Amino acid sequence: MFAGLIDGFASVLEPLNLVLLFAGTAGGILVGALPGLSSPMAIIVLLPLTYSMDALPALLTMIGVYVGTKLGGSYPAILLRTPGTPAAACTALDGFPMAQRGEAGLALGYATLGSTFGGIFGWVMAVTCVPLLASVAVKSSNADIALIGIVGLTLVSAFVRASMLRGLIGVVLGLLIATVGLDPIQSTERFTFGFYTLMEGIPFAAALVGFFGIAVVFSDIKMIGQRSSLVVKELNLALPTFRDLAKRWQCIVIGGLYGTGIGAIPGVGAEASTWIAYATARNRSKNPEAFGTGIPEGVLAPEATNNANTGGTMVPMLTLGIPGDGSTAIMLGAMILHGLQPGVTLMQSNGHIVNAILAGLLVATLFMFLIGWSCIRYFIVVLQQDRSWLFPFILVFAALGAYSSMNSFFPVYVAIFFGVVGFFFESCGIPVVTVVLGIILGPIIEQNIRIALALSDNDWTTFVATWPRQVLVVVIVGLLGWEMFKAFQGRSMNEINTKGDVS
Amino acid sequence: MNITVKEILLSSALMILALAAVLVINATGQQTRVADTDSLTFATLPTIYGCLLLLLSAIFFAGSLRRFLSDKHRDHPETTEDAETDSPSSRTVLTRIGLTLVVLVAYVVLLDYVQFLVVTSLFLFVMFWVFGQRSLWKMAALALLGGACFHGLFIYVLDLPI
Amino acid sequence: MKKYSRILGTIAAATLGLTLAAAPAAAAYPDQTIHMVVPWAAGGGTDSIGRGFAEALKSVVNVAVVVDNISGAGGLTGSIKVAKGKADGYTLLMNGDSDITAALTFTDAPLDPGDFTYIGAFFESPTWILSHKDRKLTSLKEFLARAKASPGKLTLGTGGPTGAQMLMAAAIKGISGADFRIIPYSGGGALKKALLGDQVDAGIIHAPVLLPEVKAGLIKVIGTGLPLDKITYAPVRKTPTLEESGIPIRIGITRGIFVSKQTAPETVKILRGLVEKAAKSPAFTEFGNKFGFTPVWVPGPEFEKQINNELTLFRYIKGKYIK
Repeated sequence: MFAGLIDGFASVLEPLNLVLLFAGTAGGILVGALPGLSSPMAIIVLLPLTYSMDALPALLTMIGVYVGTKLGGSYPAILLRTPGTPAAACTALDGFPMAQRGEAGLALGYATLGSTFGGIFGWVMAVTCVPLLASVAVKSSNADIALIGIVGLTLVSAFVRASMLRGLIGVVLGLLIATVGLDPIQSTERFTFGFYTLMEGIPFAAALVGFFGIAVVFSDIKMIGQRSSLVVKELNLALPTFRDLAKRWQCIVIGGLYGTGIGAIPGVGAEASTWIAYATARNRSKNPEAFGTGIPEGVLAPEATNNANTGGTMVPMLTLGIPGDGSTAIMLGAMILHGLQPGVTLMQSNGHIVNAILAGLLVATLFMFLIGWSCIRYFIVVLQQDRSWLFPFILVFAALGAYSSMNSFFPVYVAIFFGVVGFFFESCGIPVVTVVLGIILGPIIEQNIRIALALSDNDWTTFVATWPRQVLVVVIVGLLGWEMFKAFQGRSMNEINTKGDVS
Repeated sequence: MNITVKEILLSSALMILALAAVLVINATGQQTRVADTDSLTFATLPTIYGCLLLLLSAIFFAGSLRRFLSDKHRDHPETTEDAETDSPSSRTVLTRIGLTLVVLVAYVVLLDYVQFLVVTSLFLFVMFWVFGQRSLWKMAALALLGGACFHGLFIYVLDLPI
Repeated sequence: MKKYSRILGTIAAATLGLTLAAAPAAAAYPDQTIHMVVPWAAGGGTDSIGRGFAEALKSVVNVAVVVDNISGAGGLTGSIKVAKGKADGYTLLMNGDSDITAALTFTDAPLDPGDFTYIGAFFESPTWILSHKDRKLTSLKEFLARAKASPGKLTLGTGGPTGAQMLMAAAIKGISGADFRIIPYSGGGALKKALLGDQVDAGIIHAPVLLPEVKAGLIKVIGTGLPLDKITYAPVRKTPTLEESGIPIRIGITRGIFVSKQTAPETVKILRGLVEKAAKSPAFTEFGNKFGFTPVWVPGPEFEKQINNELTLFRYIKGKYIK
């Protein structure tokens, strides 16, 4: 394995490949930073441009873009509360409060460091554990995925600042919204009212753009014209030191583990992994209440996760020919177009390309760090301009980004609708984050539960049939129990403290 | 608008939504297309979610109502969101939000009929004005520049079929 | 008199000039970018075939050919957009016949095969039945025999609850009378994973998905909807078809190019010539072989007949075997 990998590095270090990898990463960071534009979109645009190249340079460019967008998305998330890509939505929770306090440089620095080290961690895990991860990917069945989804749901409490009730309302609403469309097993139309455009359900990307782009603009309009707290420039641009990072190594490890693990299991979806990692970091910390107020751990965990995802998704893509997310699906298409045959035999037939891709992933992560770190101050300057100039641009990006997700106007209207809904929810204290969690996890849970039951002939014991599933069930029950215990404890305290308070 | 009133409105809207969802999904005449192979039907989970939502929003409604009624009996300070006297009045904010929505929808509708560059630049210009900018030259310049960049990016590079 | 003849002369000259100017304009098609709509998400099998073909077409027409992914409603959103859209010959639809007919069988959509003019089809792949080697199945007949011996125990996966694969599964179940469970996975990728993980007894999927694994011996081909004689991997060419296994149904997927019915006949004629040239080009033949199948050429009218026949067949299967 390692001999092949060294060959891979040798291929990557050829001048043309290096240049393309660098350009791809830089382009990826830029694309990621523009709200509404995402990695699959950018890669699809690159696809026709790469026909004239050989397979390897083409794929390296795409890997660069893939890695770059994972970091780029966090910049507007931190500075404007509008994530540039769906994967960065969780980073805004703690990143934005940090920027508001004048610690923009710190927040962006942590995001960059978290992404880099998470990416490296995920890479190491992917490369050393390929056989293990591949067998996990193949053996994982629908029952396992359903249980992982339920675990994700129970972690919703981590995102609720004040009232558990509101958080639950958000989640259940999200779950309900996700049922619109065709039923996954019987293909019955649910809530479509005869509109065949709704057959595939509410477009997820559009809903995200609406909740995190448009709703944020509505909510923050009140900030325009406010004399913003002018913070001393040097303070704003201060970057974290490596010692600050080393203190918080646990977040990186958590992010790396979740990112690689969940990325390697096709069907769960990388979007969910950042939230689960954040929630775990919060639950394990000595000061959970601080999460959400703007602490570095809240930025490190999700950023490490989404870059570790890149390592994780490589495993099923290269060993099984199965994509883990939209970008890897297009990369697989690119491989086919270049004459490669992805699947179980790819390693034997094109081993040097596989190794070069893996090597390229690491180099791209390093480029991402270099580019990101040196450009932090420019991003701060640009994205902290007066909102009255920035918001119209964000709105256009949101509208066009939603349009390009399906190449039709329907998702744009969906985005605007959810923008309005998100705005009302936020103003009533229902965190939009919980609705998003419901929308992401709902289909995963329902599809997989029902297919699992179909496979087991309606035998519910299939959910505890193997030891991984038993572990997951224990985790679920444990988390639920702990939440209820905390709720009871908190309730008796709250009733003394917050009588008549508007929470 | 007082936040409690907003909550009451929202929770009642949610309750109505939940009830409607449960009723619609269970109405007779919903054709299944393929015979089911599992014990859950297409209506199971939506019904569960709908009932849960109904329950939760009812609790929310009750709580908000109670707060509303108890608030009536004692005067409360004006719920301003910020203490600085420098912030725009809530009336301005509301107007801006409303206008933003209207202009945004108009923009999307017009994209189908008017040339991209024109309508995008126009949108940017109008939005700058809504958000309080008044220097017309600066606004026009940025609007045109922005429109051109968007055109270059989305139409030329990304080949969007608008 | 002289004045009139001068005016007449000017008019005549102008008319001649305009005619000359107009004629080249008609013969100049295509001179703008051609948009090829692929009504599926980027990166999938159909998308890859579409992009491969777009490249071949580009080399033949000397204008840009751009792929637009307009996904939704099982391929219907994009298909309807082309059918009802501008009919100037610059917007093409690339889709599979059974994708359209299956979608129309299960959905009430504002689309009819008669809304298109058929340019031609260039890629034919049967729908094959695969099984993991550890299940020790060698043929469809064996699968059915096992199913009859233990009713309700065997599982057959498809790539979705509606679609050509489901219709094929329902036909097999209905005609043979065997009792097995059909498991509708959420897409070809999920079924692929289930087959690789040995989680179902067999699965119906479009060829040549999983061909590398078949070559490696990990997956066995136990049946097919159409003859596999054109596949590039010789050992599976003789796989018994459904008809040979006692199920008189032919199901596969043929990908072709469609345009709106309103397109002018001259444009259609030029387009047919260009598309045929692209389909027979050496570049596309090489792509097809690498992908797993030698390309074919099915002319427009024949393709139209094929689709209409298939729609009738699918509606019959649904009515009889799917409640």
